[in-house]
Amino acid sequence: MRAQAIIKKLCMTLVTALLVALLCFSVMFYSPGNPAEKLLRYKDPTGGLNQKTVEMYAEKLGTNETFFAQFGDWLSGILKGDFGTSFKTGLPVLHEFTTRAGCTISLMLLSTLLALVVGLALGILSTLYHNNILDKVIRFFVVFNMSVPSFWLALLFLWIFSVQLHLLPSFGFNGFSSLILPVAVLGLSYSSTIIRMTKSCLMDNLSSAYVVTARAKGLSESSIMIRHVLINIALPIITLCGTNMTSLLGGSVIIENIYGLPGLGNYLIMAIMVKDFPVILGFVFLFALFIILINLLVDLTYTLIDPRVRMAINEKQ
Amino acid sequence: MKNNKHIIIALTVLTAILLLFVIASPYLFSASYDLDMKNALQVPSSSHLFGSDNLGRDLFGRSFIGLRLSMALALVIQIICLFVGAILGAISGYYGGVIDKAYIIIQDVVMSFPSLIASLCLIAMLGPGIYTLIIALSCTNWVTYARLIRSEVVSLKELDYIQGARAIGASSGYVLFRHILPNVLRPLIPLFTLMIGHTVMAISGLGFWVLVYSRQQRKSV
Repeated sequence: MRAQAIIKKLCMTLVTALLVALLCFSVMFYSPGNPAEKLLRYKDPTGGLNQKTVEMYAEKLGTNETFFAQFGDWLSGILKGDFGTSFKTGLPVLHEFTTRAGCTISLMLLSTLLALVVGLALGILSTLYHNNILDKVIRFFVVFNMSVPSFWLALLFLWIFSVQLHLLPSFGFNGFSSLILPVAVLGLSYSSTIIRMTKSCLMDNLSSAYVVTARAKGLSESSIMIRHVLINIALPIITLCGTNMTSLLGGSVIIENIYGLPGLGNYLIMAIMVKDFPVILGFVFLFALFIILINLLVDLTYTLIDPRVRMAINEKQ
Repeated sequence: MKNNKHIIIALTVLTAILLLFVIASPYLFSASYDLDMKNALQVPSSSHLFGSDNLGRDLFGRSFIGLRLSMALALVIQIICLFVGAILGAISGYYGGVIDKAYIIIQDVVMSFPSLIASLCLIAMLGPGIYTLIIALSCTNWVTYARLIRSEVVSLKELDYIQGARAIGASSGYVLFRHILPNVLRPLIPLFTLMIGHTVMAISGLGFWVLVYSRQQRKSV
């Protein structure tokens, strides 16, 4: 019975992915300018364009066919793992993606982890010391974090830790040490929403009947917190982490640019600057696929950890 | 009641400050357009509270003039998003069925793009500019409202007073606009204010990117 629900979910995901591909492609297709002309302009920015050469290139690229023929070509290419080739480097888009994905994905996972650890710790602390001085400090930290743009924080950290203290590298990617600053910036700026969510969920849960029962049973505060309350607030926190990860993908574009990390976001920006269309199309589609995958995982963890969701699915059928 | 008074006083003061700066800043800081090459790139001092830029213009005044644009843009974008989100969310939540399923798919598609990257690409496609910025950010942000409004409408429409209104023969449009939407407003207002802040941040992020972009272009020229 549960397998059926999961299969239905997977089918929905496939439909979404297909529509995402269609949307990506149509935005690119209807954007002003002829792709063959763009490619030629790109190869030779100073030279004048010959109408005949443009037509020849259009023939070669297949860009003078109908929308659906081109979309079909592109989609069948993707299914074979061929996302086209970059105008700029002449290398396959998938190759450009996979060589840079490691940097961005480790940045994203580490930042999410840091945000989760800081967010949970400070959220729990500010609930336990509600209205205390510590709570006020944490609240100030949250408001400060939410109102400061991440690129400003990145530049500030760069100035303090690299320029003044010479502790950490300011540019490029060689090993873990160059990830510390970007991870700190992204992790801190995404921790504030987690702190807020943790605190509001904890406040709701701590006054609920099951906590009173657990206290009446004589459980210690720490075991109530860990074994009962934290599991109950896990769902909203996981959802938040999922949405945070999607916006981290956007936020990392700017941070990678500042710290000169050879990641996906930085390369995408370069591609957008030089209007390298196959790369933009491929990268945006792959980003979207990644996010769909994360959302799917979040949905599946719901059924895994919350018996209520499982029961609701079973009842429906 | 006492609490209410405090809120009203705080709100008045804040609105007054905001209005003063938003409306009066071009007049207050008109000197910040003046070039003064002798005092270029100064550190913060009493004459230039935020220092001065590479052409000697006062950054404090320029920040406030910039704030005007950011606030206006954020308001316009969020109002557009609110309208689009309210209409789509309310209709899909209220009528349910096929409309709701179609809406869910659209929502999933829009939400599977990271909003900053999607806006960046749209701006790159359409060419930079204020209208493009409004279009790009509206396209990616409306879904936040639509989601909230849909879930509120779905839970509200089962309540007794809505069923009662329907039982005495009120049309569904009347029920939706007269009874359901006013009740959705309460969770909507904090979201709206929060999203204004988010939009200002997104605009500043995109502004940072356009700065890099224009510099790169200047280099390549």
